[in-house]
Amino acid sequence: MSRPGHRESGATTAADGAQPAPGAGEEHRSLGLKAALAGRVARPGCRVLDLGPAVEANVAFLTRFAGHLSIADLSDSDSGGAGGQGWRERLATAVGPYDLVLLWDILAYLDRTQASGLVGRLRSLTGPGAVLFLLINEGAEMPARPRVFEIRDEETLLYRPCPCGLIAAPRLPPADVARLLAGFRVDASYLLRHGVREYVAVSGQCDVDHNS
Amino acid sequence: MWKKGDSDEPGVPDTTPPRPPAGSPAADRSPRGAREAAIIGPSITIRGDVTGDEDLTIQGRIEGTVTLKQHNVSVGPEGRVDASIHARSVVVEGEVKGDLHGEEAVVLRKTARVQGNVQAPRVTVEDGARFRGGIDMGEPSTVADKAPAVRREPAKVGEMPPRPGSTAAPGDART
Repeated sequence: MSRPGHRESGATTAADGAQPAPGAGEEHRSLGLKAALAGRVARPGCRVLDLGPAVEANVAFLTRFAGHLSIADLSDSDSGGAGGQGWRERLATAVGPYDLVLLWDILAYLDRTQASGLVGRLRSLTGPGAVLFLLINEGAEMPARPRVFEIRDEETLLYRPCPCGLIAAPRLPPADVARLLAGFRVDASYLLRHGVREYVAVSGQCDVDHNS
Repeated sequence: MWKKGDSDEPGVPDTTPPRPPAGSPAADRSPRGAREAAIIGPSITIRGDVTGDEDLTIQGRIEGTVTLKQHNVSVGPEGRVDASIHARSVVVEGEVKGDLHGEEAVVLRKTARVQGNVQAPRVTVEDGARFRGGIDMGEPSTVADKAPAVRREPAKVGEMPPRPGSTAAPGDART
């Protein structure tokens, strides 16, 4: 099934409970990722924190310029990653400061208290000017588990299919997201045609400057 | 205790090392030519420091350190290592809790479960691998000398991979 605003890549659709094949899924342009990688953040030797699972393509892409890449998968709900306080344990050994944090769509799977706690932890792991990239599904439903995103290039993401069904999405309008991101300033946000809004936030600046 | 031929001992299962996949550092370069890697079989547990002068395949368990800086170390699917590993190249198919230092490369296969930090000029993490930790590629000044990541085209340092014709305005989405 195709929706406006995306194109499908790969012919396979994962069966229920199976891991989707690499390369399968919906490919979307990501203006947020492009903005997040722009400027001095993606300079050679920068430090990147990826809060998604270890994805071969992402590791290959990020290590082209990152001097250090930390991976702490918060999307693995089976291991208490996104839910509960799992993120605390996952980030216990992370050592900042990071220049770029890829939060992906984790925030929507946490309640407000957990989300605030996670953002606070990320603030402590970043210095002024560091960039936080995240996505929020603004539709009524979202996958039951955080998606796996595959970086195809600096402005294209592949959304891997999630064989987990759909759940009601929390209502997180931009103003609420900006409040949740205390300690970061929303530098830009992009509402894409498939109902996902991408955010690029910068640490160390608390003013809310919401675009788009 | 863990040298080649251990599989002849009674009660020790066959410990024939898995053939490194084509293209892997272990397959591409063997410091001893046709010499086979030493094997720590699946029933073997070693607590302490492992050093030596030959390639090593770990199918059993090691708690301590593994230092074979001039050689290749493979952790087989059943291998379990609670130790840091220093080697020329490290290929992991099993479980490692510890840091991995590869003089040339570190490869985490899809069955790998690794908790620790990886330091190598070339690092490959296959889809399906479970990895938590950091990847250090070295000092920025040396990045230009590194080979590109496996299965990727070379990219100049400090230059994002080009995408011709990318001029879309905010809010635009690919269809």
